[in-house]
Amino acid sequence: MKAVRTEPSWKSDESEQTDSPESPENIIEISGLANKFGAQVVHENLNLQVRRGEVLAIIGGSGSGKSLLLRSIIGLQKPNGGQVRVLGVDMAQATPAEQAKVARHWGVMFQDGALFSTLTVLENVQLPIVEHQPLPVPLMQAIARLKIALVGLTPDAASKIPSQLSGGMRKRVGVARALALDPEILFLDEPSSGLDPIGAAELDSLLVTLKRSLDLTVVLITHDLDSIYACCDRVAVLADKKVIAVDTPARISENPHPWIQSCFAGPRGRNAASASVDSQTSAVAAAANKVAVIEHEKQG
Amino acid sequence: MTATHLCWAESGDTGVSHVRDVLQVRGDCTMPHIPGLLEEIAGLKRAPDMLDLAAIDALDSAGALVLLRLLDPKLGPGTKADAKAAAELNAAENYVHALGKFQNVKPAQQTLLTLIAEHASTAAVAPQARKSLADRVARFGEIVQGMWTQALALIAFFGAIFHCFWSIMAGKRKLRLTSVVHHIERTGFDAVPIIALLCFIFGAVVAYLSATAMKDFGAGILTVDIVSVSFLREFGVLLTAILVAGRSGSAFTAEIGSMNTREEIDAIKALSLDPIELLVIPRVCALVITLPMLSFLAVLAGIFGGALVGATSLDISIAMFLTRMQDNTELYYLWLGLLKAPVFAFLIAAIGCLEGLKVSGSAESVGLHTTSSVVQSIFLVIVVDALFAVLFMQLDL
Repeated sequence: MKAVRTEPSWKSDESEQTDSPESPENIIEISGLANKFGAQVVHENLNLQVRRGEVLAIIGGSGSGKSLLLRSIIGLQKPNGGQVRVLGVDMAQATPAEQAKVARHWGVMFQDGALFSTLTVLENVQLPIVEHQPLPVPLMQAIARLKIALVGLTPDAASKIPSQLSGGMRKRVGVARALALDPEILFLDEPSSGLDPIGAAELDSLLVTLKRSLDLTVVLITHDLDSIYACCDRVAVLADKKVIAVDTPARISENPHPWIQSCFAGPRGRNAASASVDSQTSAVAAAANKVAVIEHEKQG
Repeated sequence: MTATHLCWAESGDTGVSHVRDVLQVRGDCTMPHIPGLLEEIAGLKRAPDMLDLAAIDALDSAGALVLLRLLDPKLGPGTKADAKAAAELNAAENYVHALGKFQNVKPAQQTLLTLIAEHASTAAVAPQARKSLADRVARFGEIVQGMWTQALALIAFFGAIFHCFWSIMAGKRKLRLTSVVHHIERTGFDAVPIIALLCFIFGAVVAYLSATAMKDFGAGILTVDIVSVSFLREFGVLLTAILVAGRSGSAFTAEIGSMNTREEIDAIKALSLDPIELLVIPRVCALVITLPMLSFLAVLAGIFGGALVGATSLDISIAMFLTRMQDNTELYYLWLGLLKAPVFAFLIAAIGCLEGLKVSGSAESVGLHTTSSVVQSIFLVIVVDALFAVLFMQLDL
């Protein structure tokens, strides 16, 4: 406690930059990405920019390379060509140390959670903290429990092992583990598939809350039109080996491309679109309500 | 650690300073800065009443949690360590009551604090209670009971296999010939190199050993009898069975087990097919056919190894070795050895398949059952081999 400071206001713009590699407007920039397996070309000249603080959904038909795109971004798949810049770092050129530094700023939830089967839920969520940012054990446990509660699991889930959980719970724990280190970017591979509609809707509103309060950038792969309308700022459509359009859900649905039309103009698309208006307004209202209540308590 | 942290603090990083009972928090309250922040909190003499967040730059969920815990009278500074530990275990509902103790909070950070306060609880995981003697005795009982039920399940499974085999013989069900041939290739032909090589080496070792022991009696030629009799009656089939248990028994468990984790076995049953007919019978048949052949090969390789050692370093030429073997070794030793092979094969294949079918859900379970399958089949192979030895002894064979 020697560092008592008297200056009432001060800024730490430099420390912000030592924290994260760089803070560009586009948090992820993909240009000219190419991926092929033998003669099968999956991606060709694929371009995509993800803006800081947005929720971007990647959609596309089965086998259009959505998961492969995600794997290329997080460095699990070495692309055959093109450039992927995450937080301003060119992942192909970066040294392993630089890559690891960038990797600390993202969290990934894999399709089935990819939980470590020998560890309990609490240990799973705690693991990234233990490995990357060791803190006193009670605090680490408290952080892990907080993340478990944040994704909507009850405290008694913490002591279970993954095989005792349902698919939906495993996904939630996967999100909790991805959030363990308070990442800037959250990658979600099909977060709502395999969840019941209520669980999926909860996950959507969770994403909106997390994005607002944790300054998250979220990139998610999804098939779920409801969650696209409920929580996504922009949608990137993957077809014909590239991203054919990136725009807000409302404007994407007016895109004349045949795949987009059959996806959005089908019966499911129309239902989701009409439902979206209500859910978004209610989410904003709920958040505003909470703040108002707190303010009221403080004054009273 | 302290030095760097203080240096950061002066240039304006995380810092805590008292203004009466309002504590000002400054700088970054994010994950990487938490160790330093905790150090400063540990240095505080008393708990603050209010936190002023006007000068805070960055706040993440971990930082918010640390600040909320700082305001908790049970966890904050000035509390003794053991009282703190007790408080960790006493689950407070959440920290919503602490939200009123912040001032000058930016709206975005207010949302975060609210979210964290609503979801955080002080409950830590209680350490596991120490096991009493009664627990240990009970655990022992459970293990014994588990072994018993396992033995019963194995016997029942033998019955199920025989029953299925009988139905196939009676023409009520089909023998999957393609599958049988596939498994003959996998467990038979593919295993030839490793089994031949290992038995060759083992034959050489046996020859050396017996030569060392027999030389002192001037009976070096007995090496021939020892190598040929031991391989014909015991080592050929026993070594092969142990190798096959490790190689193919484990593969059976892993194959069927991973099918089980992907619900393929359930799918087979739901299609009103029989997993024993489809998966188990072909594997059992394949192994019952291949293990005697592999054993025969093993006998040849072992005796060849012994003969080679005799020729190169014991002054027993190959011709002499063969003549001696023909004179002193009975042919029925080979049949006694090979007689055991189908029995071992049945045990290994049945245990491998049963363990695979017992796999539940997780990939971890596949590993456990594979281990269990190899241990059980090697154990049973050796026990049954001993029983055969006693039987042959009684029959004067």
